[in-house]
Order: sequence, then structure tokens, then C-alpha cells
Amino acid sequence: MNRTDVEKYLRSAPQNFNARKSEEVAETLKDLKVTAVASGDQDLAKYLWCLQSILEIQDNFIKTFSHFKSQKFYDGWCLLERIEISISSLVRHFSEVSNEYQIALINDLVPKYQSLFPYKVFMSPEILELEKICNICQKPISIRKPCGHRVGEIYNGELCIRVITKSEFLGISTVDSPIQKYSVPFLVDQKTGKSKDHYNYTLVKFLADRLQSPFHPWGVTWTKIRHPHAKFKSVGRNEPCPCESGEKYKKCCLLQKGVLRPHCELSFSVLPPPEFSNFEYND
Amino acid sequence: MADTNETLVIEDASESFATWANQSFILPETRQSILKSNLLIVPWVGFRSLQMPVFPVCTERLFQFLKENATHEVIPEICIEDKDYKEVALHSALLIVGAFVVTALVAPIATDLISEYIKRTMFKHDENKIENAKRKVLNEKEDCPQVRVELTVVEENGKALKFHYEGPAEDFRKTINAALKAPAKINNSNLPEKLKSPPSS
Repeated sequence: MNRTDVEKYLRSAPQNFNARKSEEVAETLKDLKVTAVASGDQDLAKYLWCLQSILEIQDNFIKTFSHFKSQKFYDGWCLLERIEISISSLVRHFSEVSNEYQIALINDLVPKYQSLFPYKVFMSPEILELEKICNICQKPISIRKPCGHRVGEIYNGELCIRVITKSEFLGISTVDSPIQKYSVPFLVDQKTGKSKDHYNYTLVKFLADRLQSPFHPWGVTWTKIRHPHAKFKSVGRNEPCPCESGEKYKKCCLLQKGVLRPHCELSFSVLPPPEFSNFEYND
Repeated sequence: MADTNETLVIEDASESFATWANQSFILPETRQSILKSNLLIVPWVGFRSLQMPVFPVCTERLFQFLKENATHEVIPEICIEDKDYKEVALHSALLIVGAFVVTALVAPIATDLISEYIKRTMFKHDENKIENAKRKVLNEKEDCPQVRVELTVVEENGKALKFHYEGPAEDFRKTINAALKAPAKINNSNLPEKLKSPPSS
């Protein structure tokens, strides 16, 4: 396998997503990069890092799709964040031509997937970073005498980051818009002591059941529609209206043909398989 | 006179370049350098009962950015010794840029410089569009990139005003620049809790 083969493989992700041979591709890229660095070709080494990054993004995206199909929603959620981070590092160094490697599509779909998740609250750790080093030169970070390697740049085919080598945990906060999206709080099962996933993933499941390929584009639109009163039988006439207007039910939506509630519309570029072609009302 | 917009609060300050240069954790050589500067990044002292001065995460990058992009009239410096430099990561989407002391003369240029840094750092704006469309329908607060900056502007006569900004990243520049032209102060006792320093997460 040579560089051209790798490029062809990456361009064929929509066709080969069911039969990936990424280990072989990763190995080829690693070897090519070692040669490029040894010959001092920094531009080529950087380009090969970009291809490595594209491979990782594609693989994670395909794995995410697979997690959603098998209802491992939180695992998929965590991978979406990995993809988000990888794309933000990649786009500084790589301009994709006409979605040739599907990065533009993945970048479009990741926030759409995230918008379907029920998570609203996250735990945010506070950390005192006592010592950090540069991953390129391994030197401790000096504020006045910087090593010269910039975070986010590529050196010898490697992304420059800071590695925290000594830290202290200060505390934890509850936030609604975290830096790390993986820090989702879960309930603990009283009997087993293990965490249990108590979230409702109806929307993600509805979508995943109907998508036939991770690379089929789809859309999401959030609107409000009137939902049948039969869905709100447990709400008393004098209780607050389920539309959350603050009015009493009887003075608000009960006067209308239904309760005005958020509604999510999904659109597919490829029709779902026949067994999932129903579009009935879902809670 | 009170500024009722909680995005920006302005109050009298007693800070100066000298007060920071004379901190016990600053050595003589750095002291001289601080006194020669006109845009100083200052640490949080007493944050979460810590015994050491600390800076918000990414201050290293901020300082390099200021040094590399400052025009000749701006002299950036940071109020810490190399060996004492520590960062705190609060891991919230709010970008805590940091606290600065700046001379009135270069305050508008410094604001532009900090604003440019914010612009380059806040790369995720477009990604919020889908989430915001959903939040709008759910009657939830929109997720706009938010920043927190504390800017102490020292005039030639030694008087100082502290500008506490916490709000949309894209409004930082115009809000501060407008306030620099016509500052409306409020008393420290009226300072909203979220803008008191050192900041809580």
C-alpha cells in the first residue's frame, strides 16, 4: 500500500465503511511519516498527519454510527466529541476539496447528532495545572522562555499539545455548557452500585434505526406543534399548562386543539428501510 | 451612577502597575519590567483559598499572542516569575481570558488586541447554530460563546477604573470601547456576584 492507495481508501469511506482495513492504512501512514521526517520533508510529514487525522475521524464516525445502531448512546456521544476535537485540529492545516474525504459532511452531522441527545447538565472538574510540558520537545512550559512550539501546529508530523505532568483536583461544578461533553452525570443503581443510564434516547434511536449508512446526509429541524390532549391526561385543568407558558392548562392550550410542545423533524436523503418507513407520532 | 447592564460593570480601583510590581512574589528584575510595561496580565490571588497566584488556563498562549501581535506602542508583560507560573482549568465553555492592568493611553489598542485573541480562540461559533435552534424552540437560553475579562485602566494621574466584562464574545470590543469613552461607574457593593474577582466557575 502506498500514499495513493491510502488517499483512495479514505476517499472511498462511503463505500468501504462496512469493511474497513484501517490498521493496515494506519501502519502505512506511520511508515511514510517516519520516512518523511527522516528526509526532513516537513510539508509531507504534515500532510501525512492530516491523512492520519482523517482516518481517525472517519473510523470514529463509523464507530459512532455503529454504537447508535446497537443503542450504545453514551459511547457514541463520547466519540462525537472526539471527532469534534479532531476536526478542530485538522481544519487549521487541511482544506478539503468538495467533501472528498467526507470531513465536511461529518462536521455538519456531528452537531446535528448532538442536538438530538437529552443531556442538559454536565459535571465540570476544576484542575490546578502545576506542571506542563511540550509534547514535541518534552521541555517544561516556561512563560518567559517558551520552547517555540505552538499548540495546534504540526512538528515532525505530530500535533503540538501541552501535557499536564502534575496537577491538583480543586473541585467539581455543575454546568450546562461544558468544555468536555463526556462528563455526563448518571444515576447509580442502589442494588449494584453501578451507574445506570436513565436518559431517554428516543430521537437518536429513531434516527439510527432509519439511517442505512453513516454517510447518508440527513437534516433536523426544531419547531413547535400542537400535540394531542390525550398525551396529557395526567395534567389537571387547574395545573400549569404542559406547554410551560406559566398559564393554567384550562386557560391556555386546553382551549386549543392540542398542547404546543417542541417538535423535532428529521429529514432523510435516502429513504429508510421498509421496516422503518413508519412516520407515526412519537413522544 | 450605575450601569444597569450586568454584562459590563465599572468601578473605581486602587490598582496600578506599581501595586502589582511590588507583590511579594515578584523579583527585582521582573519588577522593573512590569513598571516599564503598559499592558499587564495579572494573576488571581487567593483563588479557591490557594496560597499561590494563578492564571486562567491558556494564559501562556494569550501572553505569546500579545507579545507577537502588539504594535510598538503596547508593551505586554505578565505579573509572575517563571517558576511560579500556574494555570487553573475551570473547564466551562465560558472563556475566562484573564485580568489586565493597562494604561489609559493604550487601553483602546489593548482592547482591540484582546478582542482579536478572543476571535481566534472562539472557533466554535458556527457549531452552536443547531443547538441554538433547538434551545430557541425549547425556550432555553441560547448558547452564545461567552467571555470574561477584567480590565483595569490606569490614568496618568494615577486614578484607575476597573471594567468587569462577562458576556457575548462578539460584543466585547464594542462594549469596552464605548465604555472607555464614557465610563459609568457603580459602587463595589453593587457589583454583581458573577463579576466579583477572583471569579467562581
